[in-house]
Amino acid sequence: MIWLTWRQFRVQALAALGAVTAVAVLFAVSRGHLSDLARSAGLNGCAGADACASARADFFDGVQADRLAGVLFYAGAVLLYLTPALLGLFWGAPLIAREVEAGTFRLAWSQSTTRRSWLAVKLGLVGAGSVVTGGLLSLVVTWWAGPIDRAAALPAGSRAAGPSLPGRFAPLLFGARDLVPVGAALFAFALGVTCGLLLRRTLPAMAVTLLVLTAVQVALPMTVRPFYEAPLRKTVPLVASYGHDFSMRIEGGSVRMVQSVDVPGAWVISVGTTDSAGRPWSGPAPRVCLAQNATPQQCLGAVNALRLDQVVSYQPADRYWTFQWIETALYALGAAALAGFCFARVRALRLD
Amino acid sequence: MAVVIDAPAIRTVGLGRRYRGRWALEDCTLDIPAGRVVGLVGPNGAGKSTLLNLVMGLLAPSAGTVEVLGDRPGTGPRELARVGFVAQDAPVYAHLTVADHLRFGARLNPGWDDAYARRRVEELGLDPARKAGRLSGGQRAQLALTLAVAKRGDLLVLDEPAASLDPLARRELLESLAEAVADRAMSVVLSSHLVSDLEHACDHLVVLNAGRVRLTGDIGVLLAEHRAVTGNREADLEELVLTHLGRTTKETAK
Repeated sequence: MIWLTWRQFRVQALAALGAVTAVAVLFAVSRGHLSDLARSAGLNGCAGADACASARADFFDGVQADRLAGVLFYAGAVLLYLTPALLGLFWGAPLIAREVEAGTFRLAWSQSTTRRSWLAVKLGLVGAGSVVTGGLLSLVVTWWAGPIDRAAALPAGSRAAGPSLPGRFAPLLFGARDLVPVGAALFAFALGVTCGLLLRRTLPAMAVTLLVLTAVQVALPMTVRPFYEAPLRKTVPLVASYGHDFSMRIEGGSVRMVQSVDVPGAWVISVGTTDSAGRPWSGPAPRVCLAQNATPQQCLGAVNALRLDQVVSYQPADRYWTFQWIETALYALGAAALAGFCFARVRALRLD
Repeated sequence: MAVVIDAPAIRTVGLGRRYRGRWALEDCTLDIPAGRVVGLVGPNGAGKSTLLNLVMGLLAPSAGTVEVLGDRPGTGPRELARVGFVAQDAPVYAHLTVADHLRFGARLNPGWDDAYARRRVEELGLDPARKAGRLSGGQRAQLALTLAVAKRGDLLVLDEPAASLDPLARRELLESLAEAVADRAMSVVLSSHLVSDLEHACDHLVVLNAGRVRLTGDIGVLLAEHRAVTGNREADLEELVLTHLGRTTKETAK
């Protein structure tokens, strides 16, 4: 069975190896420049909030000047979201569906090997291939983005308004770093196999795999991930002022004010305004802010007189790895459940 | 163990299989002794493939029971190892070579007779390096038959192995089958919608029509009975089968 699986799978395995190698070379070649930028900005071993904020800002200025780095930064994230989808579509969905379509399951399942052993070896080997593919790509991208991720987790200080890139805990990037892509790859593969088993035709199985996987990858960061641990809250007095780090929008009776928050390396989930008693506050705006002849300063002064607070709900930077492990475990559990379902169903697979 | 050896090749009781509310096979009761070459004959859609897939354990019964060589078919590696199968249209892996298929057989079957398989491929003149997807229909059927025979089971099941072949390839395949059977004591079940395919190869007959068994028994005995009843001393297998198919058609029409 191991031989058969390898014989049927080797072209795809070699193609994946080739693609991973190409990606690794591309990222490795451009990594040198990123390291140089980090070194010249003094990013490595900066000490003290001010020095680090300054190194961070210098580094991001350098990154912005280098077009390629910005492109690769996002290309790496896109690649790591694309990989599980490709594995699910091209390795998972056809695994059973193509045997059914071609009628070769009648050949495969009438040898002296039970369907379950056949499935076990296929799931084991191709699943391992998916884990290795996802793992290697994540390793390359995470390593390449190391300096950027490090800089993004430093305090922004007074130069917060300069160019920067999102940190690794941000919803967009969290699933494209370290362990999560490995879990996602395994889950996507198992999902593809399951869809192939249920639909018994490759193309519909691919379509449904893509649909479900996308839904899971969108829903997970929005609905489940914020609650792996109870978010921390940070309350700071809201100081309305002119400047880059404060914005105010008045719409009819409600006011929305955001003062930029600097929680280095954290994932800021929500920002809200409360009154001095701690109740959520959304207006009405002080009358002077709506008056035609009032100056902006008068409005800001009136807002400050309300003694409002800004409440930030966030996951601190030191929870990053806990969250990585939890999300990877969730994906792995999902994959295990799907594999178990496939084992239960393959014996009674409808073959008419 | 003696019980297992003496068990009938195939025994079904009230076996039925339903697809989307329609019975493809219904109330099928058969007792086929071991060591026979059974011809399963009937028009297209009679339920032949359904019956054979049930015998292989590739389908689960909707009603009744099926036993193959004394066991429920397809339950474990031991049961699977005892039955060789050539499915309808002789499916093979298009991207694997002939040699790959032999290795496939060797890796997946503990009883694999590699010497036989290699000799057959050589006799057939198949290029081991050729991809199975580029073989002719006759060559593909021969390869599938080689795989099924080299497995060295006690029962060989062939689902319309000759259906899509030209007359020459058809004859060659049936000759290969006859040789394989002569080589070794094993039971064979062979389905066809052409009586002429079965005439020389088989000694036992099962006639299937519209999902029901119409006639079953030893060909010699059936023919003798038929000749006695009809008074037609020249009656052959074809006429016997057609008589039973025709009668059932009339009965259904009433």
